[in-house]
Amino acid sequence: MKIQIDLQGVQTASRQRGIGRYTREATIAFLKLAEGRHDVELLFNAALDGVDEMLDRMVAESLRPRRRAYGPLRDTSSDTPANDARREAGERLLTHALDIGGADVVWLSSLIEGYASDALMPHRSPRQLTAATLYDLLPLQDPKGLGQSRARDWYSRRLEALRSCDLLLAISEWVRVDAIARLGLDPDRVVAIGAGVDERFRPAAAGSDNRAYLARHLLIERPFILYNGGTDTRKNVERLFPAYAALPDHLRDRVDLVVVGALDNATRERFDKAIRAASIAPHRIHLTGYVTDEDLVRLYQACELFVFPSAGEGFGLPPLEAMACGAPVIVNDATSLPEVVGSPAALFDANDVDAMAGAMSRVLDDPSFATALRDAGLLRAARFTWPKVAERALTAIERALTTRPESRSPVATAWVATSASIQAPPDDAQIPVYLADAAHASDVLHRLREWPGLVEWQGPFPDGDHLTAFDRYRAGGWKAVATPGGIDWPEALRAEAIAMRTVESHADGEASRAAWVEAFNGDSMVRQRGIEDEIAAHVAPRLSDTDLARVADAIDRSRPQRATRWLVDVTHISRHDLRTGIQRVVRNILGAWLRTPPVGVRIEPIAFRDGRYEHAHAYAAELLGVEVPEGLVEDPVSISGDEVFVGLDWAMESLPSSATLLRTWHRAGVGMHFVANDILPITLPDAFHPQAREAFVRWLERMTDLADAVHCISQSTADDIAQWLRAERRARPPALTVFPLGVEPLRESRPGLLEKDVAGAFAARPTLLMVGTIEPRKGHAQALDALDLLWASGADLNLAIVGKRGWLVTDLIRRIERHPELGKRLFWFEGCSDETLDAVYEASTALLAPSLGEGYGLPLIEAAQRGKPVIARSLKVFREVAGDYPAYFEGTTGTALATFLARWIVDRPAPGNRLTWPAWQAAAEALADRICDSEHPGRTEKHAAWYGAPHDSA
Amino acid sequence: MTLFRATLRRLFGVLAKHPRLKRAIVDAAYRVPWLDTRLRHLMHRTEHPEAVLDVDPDRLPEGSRHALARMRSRMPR
Repeated sequence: MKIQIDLQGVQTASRQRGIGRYTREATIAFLKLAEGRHDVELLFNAALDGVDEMLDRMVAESLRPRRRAYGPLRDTSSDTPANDARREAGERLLTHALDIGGADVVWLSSLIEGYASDALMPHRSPRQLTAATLYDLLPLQDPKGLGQSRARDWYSRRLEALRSCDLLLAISEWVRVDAIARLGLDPDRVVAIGAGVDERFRPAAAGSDNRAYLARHLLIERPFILYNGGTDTRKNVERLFPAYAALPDHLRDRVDLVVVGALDNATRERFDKAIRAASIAPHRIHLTGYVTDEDLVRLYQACELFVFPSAGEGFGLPPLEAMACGAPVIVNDATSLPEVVGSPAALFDANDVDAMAGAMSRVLDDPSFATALRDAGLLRAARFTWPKVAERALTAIERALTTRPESRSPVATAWVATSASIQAPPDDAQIPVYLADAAHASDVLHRLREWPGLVEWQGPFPDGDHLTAFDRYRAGGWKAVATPGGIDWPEALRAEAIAMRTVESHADGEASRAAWVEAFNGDSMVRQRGIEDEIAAHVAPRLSDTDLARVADAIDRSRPQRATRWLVDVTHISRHDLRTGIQRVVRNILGAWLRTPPVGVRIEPIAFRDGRYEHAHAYAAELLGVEVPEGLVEDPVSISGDEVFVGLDWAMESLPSSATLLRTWHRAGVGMHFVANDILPITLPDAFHPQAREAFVRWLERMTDLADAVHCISQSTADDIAQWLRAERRARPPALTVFPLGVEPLRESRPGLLEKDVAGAFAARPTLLMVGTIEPRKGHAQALDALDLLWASGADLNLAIVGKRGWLVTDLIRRIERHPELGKRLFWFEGCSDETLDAVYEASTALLAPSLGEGYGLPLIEAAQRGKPVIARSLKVFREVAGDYPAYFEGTTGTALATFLARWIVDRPAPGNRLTWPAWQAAAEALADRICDSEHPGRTEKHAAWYGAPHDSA
Repeated sequence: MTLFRATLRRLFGVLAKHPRLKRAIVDAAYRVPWLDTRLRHLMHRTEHPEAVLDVDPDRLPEGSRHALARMRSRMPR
């Protein structure tokens, strides 16, 4: 069974209240219960907040259900007439999103939203079995409380929506009975599933000193009576003050009154007035406003008594939480509250202040009664758990599904386009059926893109050579562009059509055509055509051009995609390829993916430009060495939620701007993956400018905050990031994986690329080669110190440096440029082509790698591939990448290195065993595997090993 | 794009073609941390302005463009 849960209950202001807590906890418990048994998908409104908190919570519980988002359509709240058309479009959009989700059951977490927020409810009942959580119908007890007519209309529509649901999941038996009576519902359609109390609400552990904590943090120094909950008039808090005042003097002198709950200015004034009227000394009343859950638990645990005088509740979570924490609890004898406390002795009449004061006095004055209430409350609270709520909900849904009559989609009407009318606009029908043959193949292909439909084909197909590069791209992505002939006409047509069939002749096909068309009534594109026509007819004339464009975009993006797209960020390299090591990785991985994408995946390079991501078609074509297909435009990237974002390129400069957009993608279900090369600005802070370090930390924080998984180029980098994340104590740390980098096959070294003098010097004496940007951590200064000592002692050897000038090296560059050995025994190749680098490697004796920190160590592999010995600093990452092939040295002084080199030159020890490294194709496949693995729900064993058990990471 | 951003972009383009001049400016700027920070921030924000979260109605993705065209063609005249 597939169940889709609309989670707007955690997206509006309700997320701070009982509805939000209920939705969150019930959904988490339901996901745990359904795991492995049912397919549960979460649906969010993209115009609202609250998604991140829910995602964090799910990750903390090791849950990763699929999620989608619809919209965003903003300014749809019911309180403003100007929003009416947008809201209607939004409601139709939500209905459509639910219809095409492929679910058997839709569970609406809260229908009572959207008066003052952009929450939406379905325009009509979705086609699937529809369940909704029913919190209460309390406004019907006092309709005047709804105020103006728009609010009454809004509530009436909600009631109609509740009536039309197949199943209502009431949060208490009282709500169930009340709803059956007030709405005239069939009792079988309303099931009480109850509510639960979170495990955090429990009695104080032995030895805990809540009193001292509360005195310190909330300035509550005396024993106290507690109220927690809403502060609107229905909650009766104002009656609590005179009841407190009416307590016998010896009790009132002993205890204060603490009121926890939202406090705006009007409420505070209302309460102050009631406190003054009751002649209570202000210092005996503590109005705390909102408190954290941790403080709330301590308050429950420490109070002498919890009083809940509310006149109406659908359930009444605060008394239950207080009971679970071991507090003696008394409540108003009204609505659901007797059901929650389960004991007549715990009830009072809140309309009678003296009765309330009497009940309070009895608990405060009679320790045995208080103990009996505490014990009974603990036993009672143990019966209310979220797993039990989830079980009742699932049982009710399963039962409703078995008894529900099968619903059929309305049959979409078809318009048959013959060869003569293929190019005419379709009439009012939703599905064009194109009767096509070889003579009209191109016309049909073009037409399908504008008016998707079914293709009935007769006769042979044209030769695939007639497909344009654009057609091939549309059908098979960049792989098809790079490999002409890989796509044939049936594939190209199927990629655009809702469906295609071949017939002997169209005349033969006529008899079975209607039944064939009907089989596609449930197709997402057919349904999209339906909603487009609905909105065009009923809403579009009242929408502005901008709103209509946004509605069209939202509708189109709600359709599931046929293939998963991996959106590979090439923002920087597509603008300017600096030929750095990182960009070499980007070129090689992306090139391999474009030519041979992972199975079922389309690779799309994208770039962040002017605030939006666009397709980077020109860069893809450049990388593949092909022309950009004619007609292929670098459109803005459209997200449906089936995508995976891959931050393959270094994006420190653009991520601060693009992160906001990427976060909306992530909320909509897009998997977020980043490749991390190193975190050297953190592990080697002295080697970087302070500003660069700060910018790097900001980037790392943003990146790891967004990422579902970070894929590291070495275990050392993964360990460094894991350590940093542990120190950061992230609530939702990303998964960490490691993938190997590839090596390029050796090119034939062409003779004559080195200048004559250079070649002569290299031939005359041993040459140590350093490859990498000249920057402080690379150890150039130490190498120069060592060579200066060796040259001074009469040793005859060259030092060749290949690398661009980096940062914080002004003095070092001056030292190189003014060095007396420059051009004699010291050589610097600043701008060096790959071919020249090959020649320098070939002519050198050994690679020298004195770097103080690396994320990988590509030059070590390049040298080893060529059979050149390697002298490297004893870094963990070098040992990981190159094994025991290099000769390792310790020490950071020129003398230490000079001593090591002098001995090495004399001994010339043979390199150790050479490891094997994958080609770039294999490296690209390894990264693709890591991404695919990370997209699966749940954490890998390695993830758990890095961070400990899920709860430890918070 | 604002005139200010366009001008800055042109300036950065010129500097990109003159690496020695760019290097001299970078070398000078990084010795004054607050200036370095301001200039880098300005440069990055000029090249990568803040993300826009709502779709641009004048520049829709292809699928959305077709959906819009279909809806417009079906609107009551």
